[in-house]
Amino acid sequence: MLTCPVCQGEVPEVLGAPEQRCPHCRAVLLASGGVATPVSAEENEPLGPTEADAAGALRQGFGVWLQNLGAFTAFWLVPALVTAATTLIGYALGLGEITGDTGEDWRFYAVSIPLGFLDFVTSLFFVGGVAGMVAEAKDRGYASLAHGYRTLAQHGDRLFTMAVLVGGLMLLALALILLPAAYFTYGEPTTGVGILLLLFLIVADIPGFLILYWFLFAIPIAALHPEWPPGRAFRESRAFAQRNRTIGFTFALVLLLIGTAVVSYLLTRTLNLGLQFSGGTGLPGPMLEALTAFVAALLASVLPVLISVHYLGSVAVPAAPPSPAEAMVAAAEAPEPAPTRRRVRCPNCDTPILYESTGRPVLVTCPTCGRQGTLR
Amino acid sequence: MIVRRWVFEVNAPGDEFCHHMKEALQRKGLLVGEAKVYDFSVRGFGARGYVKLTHHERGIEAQVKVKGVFGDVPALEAALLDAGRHAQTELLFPR
Repeated sequence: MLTCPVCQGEVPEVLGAPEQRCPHCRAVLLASGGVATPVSAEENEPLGPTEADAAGALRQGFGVWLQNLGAFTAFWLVPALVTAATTLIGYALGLGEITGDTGEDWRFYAVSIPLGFLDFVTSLFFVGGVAGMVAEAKDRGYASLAHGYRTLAQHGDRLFTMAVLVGGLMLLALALILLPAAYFTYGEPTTGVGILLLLFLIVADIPGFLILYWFLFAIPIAALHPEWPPGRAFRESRAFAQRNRTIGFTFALVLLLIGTAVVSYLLTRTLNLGLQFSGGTGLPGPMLEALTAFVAALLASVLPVLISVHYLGSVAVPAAPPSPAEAMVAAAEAPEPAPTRRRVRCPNCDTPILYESTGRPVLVTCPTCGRQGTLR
Repeated sequence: MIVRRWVFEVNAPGDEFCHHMKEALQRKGLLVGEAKVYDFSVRGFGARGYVKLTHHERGIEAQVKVKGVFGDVPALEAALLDAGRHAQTELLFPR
């Protein structure tokens, strides 16, 4: 055992390991001749958690989502309803499609972008609640709903700020994509300019993806560490993404999001066809669009679960054991173990001897023949 | 392929150490399975690892072999060492 020079706790050695780590304060130490010294005396950075496997996180996340499907779906009803409502409101205002007429389309953008932003921020806000559900009670089914709502109630203001910030960043990234898209719709680009704009359209996706990659974990982190300011949550999210190389994970989430939209489209269109074949007229257009958006949003409840499980899987290191002083106090306050009554037969006269055992060795005397012996 | 031998300074039964180590690995999303020669195998980061635990005079010795041509072998090695440390901490300083 070494002694940590930082917290004075006992450090069990791992022979053959490149460095020793204090289990109490997680300081990195070098062991030389039984003496532990911090790696850097000036700045002794504790080692962070090791990487978590992205494929394993996806597998585990799906498992958690499927085991608690009812609870997660029930919790995600509010964002899904907001999605459906914003779609319906958009249609009610006659903003169904881009017409190519600049005046009409400005009206479309002026309403659809704030509506989309509201929808996006609501979903991001509820991501924090899902993180609370996963962290506190992932195996408790509907009981975990209470944890989700409690997280939203206790840290609602922080989560809302984070949701607006992340949503705003994503909106800025989207503006970069919309810029060349608008020129394609309303301008008359020549072939050369068109190719350049097409290239820009592809390149403009990168900032959006980078923002998603860096700040994907920011809201779960803000929900799980309420004492951290938003800036630290953003920094930690970026550090987590870089440490765990979550590009593949982020890309898988984007594909899943597209997948939920496709599945939802197919489901609702099949339902509508069924209604038409059974003699009805089918759902009216806006209702069908709203239903598609609602089902897609409900299916997308898997995404925050996957994000939270990945983050928690990587950082769920055991809580630091108590410091030596606390452990001594706890040991002193712990009640003495009750003595256990046991029985042994005397090897001389075969009389059963009852004795109280509080540990070994025990001196036993036979009440009949007086023979003494030690049980070890 | 890399082979490592680590001795975890702990006085505890090997099966308890093995249980805690497997638990820590599974929490990281790694797939723990059976092995023929080694005590257990672990898959993750595109690599495979094999762990055999034996008694050592200073504690428990873990013989670790990590393979994977395209996998992230150092990441799996770090995860295994971290899991061993977790088991050591759990046994020495139970909560």
